Amino acid sequence: MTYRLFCSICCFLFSISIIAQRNDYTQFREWSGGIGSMDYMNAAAIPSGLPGTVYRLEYRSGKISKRNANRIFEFAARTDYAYMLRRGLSTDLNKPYYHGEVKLEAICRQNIPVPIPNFTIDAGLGFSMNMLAGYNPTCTYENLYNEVYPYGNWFVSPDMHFKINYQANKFIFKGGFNAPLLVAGYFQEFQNMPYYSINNFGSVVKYYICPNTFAFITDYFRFDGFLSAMYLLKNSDKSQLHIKLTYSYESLNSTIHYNSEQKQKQMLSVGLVIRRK
Amino acid sequence: MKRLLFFIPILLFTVSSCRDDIVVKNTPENVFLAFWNTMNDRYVYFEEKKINWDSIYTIYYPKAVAAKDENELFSIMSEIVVQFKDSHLYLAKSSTEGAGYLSDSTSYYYLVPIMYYYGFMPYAKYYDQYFTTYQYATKNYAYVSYSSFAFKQDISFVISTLDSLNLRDGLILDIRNNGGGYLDNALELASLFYAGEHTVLYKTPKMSPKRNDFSNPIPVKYTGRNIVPGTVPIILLTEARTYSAGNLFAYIMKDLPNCITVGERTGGGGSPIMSEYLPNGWVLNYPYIKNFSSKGVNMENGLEPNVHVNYVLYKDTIIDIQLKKAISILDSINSRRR
Repeated sequence: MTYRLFCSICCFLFSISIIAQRNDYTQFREWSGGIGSMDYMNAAAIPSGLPGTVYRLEYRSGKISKRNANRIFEFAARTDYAYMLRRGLSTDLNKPYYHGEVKLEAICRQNIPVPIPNFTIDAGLGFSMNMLAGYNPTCTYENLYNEVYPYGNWFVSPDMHFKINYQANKFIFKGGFNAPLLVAGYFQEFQNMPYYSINNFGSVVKYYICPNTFAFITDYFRFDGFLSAMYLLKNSDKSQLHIKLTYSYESLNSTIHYNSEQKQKQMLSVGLVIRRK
Repeated sequence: MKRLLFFIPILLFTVSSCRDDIVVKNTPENVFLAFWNTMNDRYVYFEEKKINWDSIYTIYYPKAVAAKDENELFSIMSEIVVQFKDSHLYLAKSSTEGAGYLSDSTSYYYLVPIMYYYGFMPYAKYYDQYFTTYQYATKNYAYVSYSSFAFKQDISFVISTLDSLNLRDGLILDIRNNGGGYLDNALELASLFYAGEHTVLYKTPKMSPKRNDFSNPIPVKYTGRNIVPGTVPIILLTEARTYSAGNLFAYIMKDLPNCITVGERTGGGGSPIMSEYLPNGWVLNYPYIKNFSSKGVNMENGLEPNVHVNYVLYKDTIIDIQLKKAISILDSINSRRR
């Protein structure tokens, strides 16, 4: 059954690669920056959750395959920084939490033809590396109590990607999502962590570097979606310059080592895209 | 068809964005539930403290829900916290106000005249608020008081002091007033008194939210610096205010063949602290791991010294019978040596 399904998918991908609409550019680069809101909870450090403002910097570049013009290879690097704080609380213990994320991604996408003019659909697979860390300024040597611990994790994952493109004159509208199929890496254990750091730096580093987790989409579900509009600013024989406005949405719901982690992020980004013909 | 295709991601966004449960709202009920659930999942000493956590919920949940303001809620939750008699369990309302258990141990205080009375002179080469040293005037004994691990410790400063003291025939190490602090500091200080790699304790982290789901004991090893050689007799003074990292230090020292512990049972506190925010910004501090000594004794219950001597505070006098006992033990060890 699985073999048949695999063969069917291969046949389908092969056939669409022959008939699919070809891309009208050979490579592109994109730089963007964004701002948005984030709600985040992590049972190991902030179980009641915190709201915050998140900032994003992103770089993407892509190249059309020379062998198959319907296939595109993409690289993306993204960094998010969030400042999380509950407003309006009376206690002086209410300190901000700083949260940072880095994501590096390599993606291979394929155009899937649809019988509608100006419409294309891309589907593909990616491989990403993700790092996340949270830190609270109370975590210093001056506070024995009320010292909220930092947290962090890193993992690699194969991701599925899906994208819809629609071109209308100078505008290109896109929508899509990606989600990791499984994750492998380091996630914080329930209540186990290195016990001391002095005289022990090597083994502490080793503990955080060594992977301790392999989880499927059922334990780590993340949905990373976007809607964007690109407008052609400049067109020449060799290249095109677009401005891009993106609304992105990210939702995470995971439970690994009995530590649940939930996140909801909504952002608006503005970027510039250069496409070479 | 066009509309339908573009509708797919929008539909997915809508479906997955219907969530408002990540940031828990600040209501008395939610604050109590966050407190109760965190304790239920993560606190490690229910058994040792003989607390029925489910009955706490039954009794206090209705009271918390009905609380009119934060002050009332705080007094309800304080009532729960003090029942544990656990100084590591502390509910902080602000940086200056909180609820926790304070042990009713003897109030030890330190007086310079006591040291003079027993023949010690201040060793003034170095001075630190938490680290005080005296040299016996007529014998090769030194006295070191280490009253806290709750500061950034400069171990090289301690090493150079110990190197320069004349402690050939004995060292009295006084941690009676040491209420704890950072585990790193306790391990670092203890490492000055032994050589080679040493299993200083066993930790048993909680592995899941289930009440008694602990890992098998994991040895925690630490390499000694051997600054004070094993030939020097060490008397460690303890009492009930010796707590947490002070208690851990006492357990490590008691394992050394050249160390005799004198005084009262330590206060316990066998776990480091973890802290978490409640929905109203209060911070719940709780012990999150069980520590056992290298001989498998649960450190939460405190350490009974080799020689039990009650601390009796003679008001306006200069009598310290525990220190006196320490000196007499050193005298007898040295007379046997000769």
